[in-house]
Amino acid sequence: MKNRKWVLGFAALVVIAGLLYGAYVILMPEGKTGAKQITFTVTQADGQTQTFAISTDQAYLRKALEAQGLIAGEESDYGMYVKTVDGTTADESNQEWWCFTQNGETLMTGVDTTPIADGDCFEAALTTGY
Amino acid sequence: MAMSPAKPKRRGVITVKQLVMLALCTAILLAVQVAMAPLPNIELVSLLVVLYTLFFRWRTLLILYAFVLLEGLLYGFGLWWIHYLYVWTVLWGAAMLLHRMKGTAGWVLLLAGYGLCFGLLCSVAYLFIGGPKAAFSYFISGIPFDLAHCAGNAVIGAVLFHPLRRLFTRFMPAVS
Repeated sequence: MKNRKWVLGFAALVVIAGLLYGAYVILMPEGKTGAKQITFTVTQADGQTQTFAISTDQAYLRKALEAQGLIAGEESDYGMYVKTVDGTTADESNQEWWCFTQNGETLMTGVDTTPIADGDCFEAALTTGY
Repeated sequence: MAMSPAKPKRRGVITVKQLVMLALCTAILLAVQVAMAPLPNIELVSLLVVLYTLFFRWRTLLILYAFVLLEGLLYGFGLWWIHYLYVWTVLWGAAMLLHRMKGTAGWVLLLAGYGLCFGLLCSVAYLFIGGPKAAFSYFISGIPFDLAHCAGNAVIGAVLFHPLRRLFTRFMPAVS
């Protein structure tokens, strides 16, 4: 009887985990290949900005920016950790990092998993302080 | 010869011995977190928080917040640090409520469930910082990591809970 309680508990946990995975598959935005135009605005530490108009067939942001030579970084378990944007490398000893946004809203996904669509506007600003 | 009455135990007071043990446990918690940091969402911190709660009860909060402060000093006080201010306390609270639970299965279930909910708990901070959309995006995008966290906690709990509890019972007598 006592064991049955725990078996049911674990079974419920597995069901919840399955439902969460299903929610992830359904709700996670998916990129689509095909011709599209996006803009990418880079803001340096001194406030200077430069906007790039990018024509790409890529589904996700990383490859679209890499194709233009605009980003570079380190591979991690979460995808690319972007350290260099438009030739400027963030100085980690100074707590510098590149903050990526879309239409001004902070991205909750990395460049590998951020889908792009025609007309999207992305920004990267060199930020100091964690 | 008259026996002097035993000194009554003062609740809420931390003895020197307990203080030293709390400091040692804080150091172990930090060392374990740093050592396992390269493994994403595979950690021993949850298990140790539960065990510390069973043995130190409310005093575990001293360990937790010393740990959180040290983590901030080590990694920088970023947004993640806001999560840390409350996520471990939630686990502590659950362990306090369930402290009479016997056996290992229930504790493994708690640890696995906590791992599964970790992302949801962290997304609460985003609710206030970025709004509901940011919180929801954060939660959904982190689900694979929560699944790994759940599985990792379940395995670690199943393997280590019982032996560590016995070790604690031997070397750290329970305090009320």
